Amino acid sequence: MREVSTVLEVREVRKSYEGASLLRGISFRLARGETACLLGPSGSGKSTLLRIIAGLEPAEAGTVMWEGMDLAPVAPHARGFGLMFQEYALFPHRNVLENVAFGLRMQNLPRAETEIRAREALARVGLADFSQRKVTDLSGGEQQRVALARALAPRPRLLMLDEPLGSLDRGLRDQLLADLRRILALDGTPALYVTHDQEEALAIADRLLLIHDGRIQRSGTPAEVYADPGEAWVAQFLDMGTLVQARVIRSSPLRAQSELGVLAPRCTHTPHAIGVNLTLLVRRAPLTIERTAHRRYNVVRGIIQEVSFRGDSYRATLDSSTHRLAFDLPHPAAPGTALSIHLAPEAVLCLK
Amino acid sequence: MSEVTVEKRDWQGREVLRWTGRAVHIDADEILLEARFARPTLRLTYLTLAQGDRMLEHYYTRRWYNVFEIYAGESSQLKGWYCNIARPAHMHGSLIESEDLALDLFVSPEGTSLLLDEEEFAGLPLSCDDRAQAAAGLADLQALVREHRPPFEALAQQGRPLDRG
Repeated sequence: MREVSTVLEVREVRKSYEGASLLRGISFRLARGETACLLGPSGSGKSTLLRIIAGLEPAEAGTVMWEGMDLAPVAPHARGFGLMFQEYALFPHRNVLENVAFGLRMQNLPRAETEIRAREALARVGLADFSQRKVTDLSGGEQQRVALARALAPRPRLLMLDEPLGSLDRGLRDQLLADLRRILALDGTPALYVTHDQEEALAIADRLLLIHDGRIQRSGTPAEVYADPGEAWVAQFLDMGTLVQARVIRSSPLRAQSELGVLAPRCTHTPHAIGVNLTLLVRRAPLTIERTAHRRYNVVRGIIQEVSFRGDSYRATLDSSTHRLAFDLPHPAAPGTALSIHLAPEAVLCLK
Repeated sequence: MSEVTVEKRDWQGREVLRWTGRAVHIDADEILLEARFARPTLRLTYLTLAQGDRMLEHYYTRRWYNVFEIYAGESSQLKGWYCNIARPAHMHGSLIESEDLALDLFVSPEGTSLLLDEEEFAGLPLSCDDRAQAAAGLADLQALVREHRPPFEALAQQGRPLDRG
């Protein structure tokens, strides 16, 4: 079934920059109606990958295909892809409607039809009443919506967004993200969204593609990635908890000795022999806290260092003498308090 | 992400000038990019271009001209439209190639047009077809200006005062 709905396929794309390997064999597929988010730190090559897909740069190896057709010979302007960037350059001398109609002007529609479509696009971004306003009178968030309506109006077969909300403050960004997600779902327009911001990626993505070191380190729905980050880098980049080195002391059920004590990690890969070294993730949550230890494993003892309020929980740093661990606690704890934290079974995970 | 290079060529395809800008919109018929005037101040009788002036450059893939909307620096003050009669633009990767045929049209924010370099154009040894296409391109441009059609919609706002930044 997945074969049928694939629209974009990127296969083994490679690219180097100034002699260094930037993309080392990137492969992924995008299904019709899907929003995939390329998430990675700056310099990870995600914008270069977007340029290659847009046709602005050639790949050194590999292919980019649209519905099974190799796009290599297709010029950027013939690909039918819509673009939206952080710097979106509206026309200051055109009103909102005229700016949106810009994306439609070449479709040879009667003027009335163009206006209807431009108004529809404006309504979708929540600016139905703004059509005659000057863009220079709009707020940053409103201008961004106009740019989005302009990109959506011609109904591109793929929408590519590169850090489109980078310049907006957090509250505005959250609102625009929710709107964008709703609009993309409603339109069924497949989208590739590039960002370095984890929260933005989680809010917008049907599927995350985590890119680092020229490779896609992990791909999956946000829930899948959070359930099993797989790579240590992914867990660190998503700030999921603390990484701990351990050595297997019992293979079934799995127990590993670490500087935090004996841990019972969940592990999705093959059974480990005694003596094997593992990298474990100790999640920030969920946890149970008790002041005395009843178990011989998954108990972390330490002194609370710092506590900050996070709205629905308290982010605490626990000093275990060998590690500083971050936890999200349901209740406040005073700095200096000695705590034994009982980790829930799903809070300790095996990484690659 | 969106950086592109423009290569302006003469009628024989020899490179004259190149500059970089950022693609704002790309579709089958048009590439719109934003660039800054990077050379020292250029004083012409009808227009002064200052370093940092913002250009919204329209390149058309099927039309025999391109149009630069010129704004003063960061402001929204429109200085006018500089239109180059040129062969249809080609885009290869991030390179936009534009072969210029010397003839230019400047349109002021008030809508007055000035035809430039007619003699130079007349002196180019162009084929009959090129010359006819260029003439048709110019006529097309002049009609857009007259009728306030894109990218000259701002002319329709003559009733209301243009933003002077």
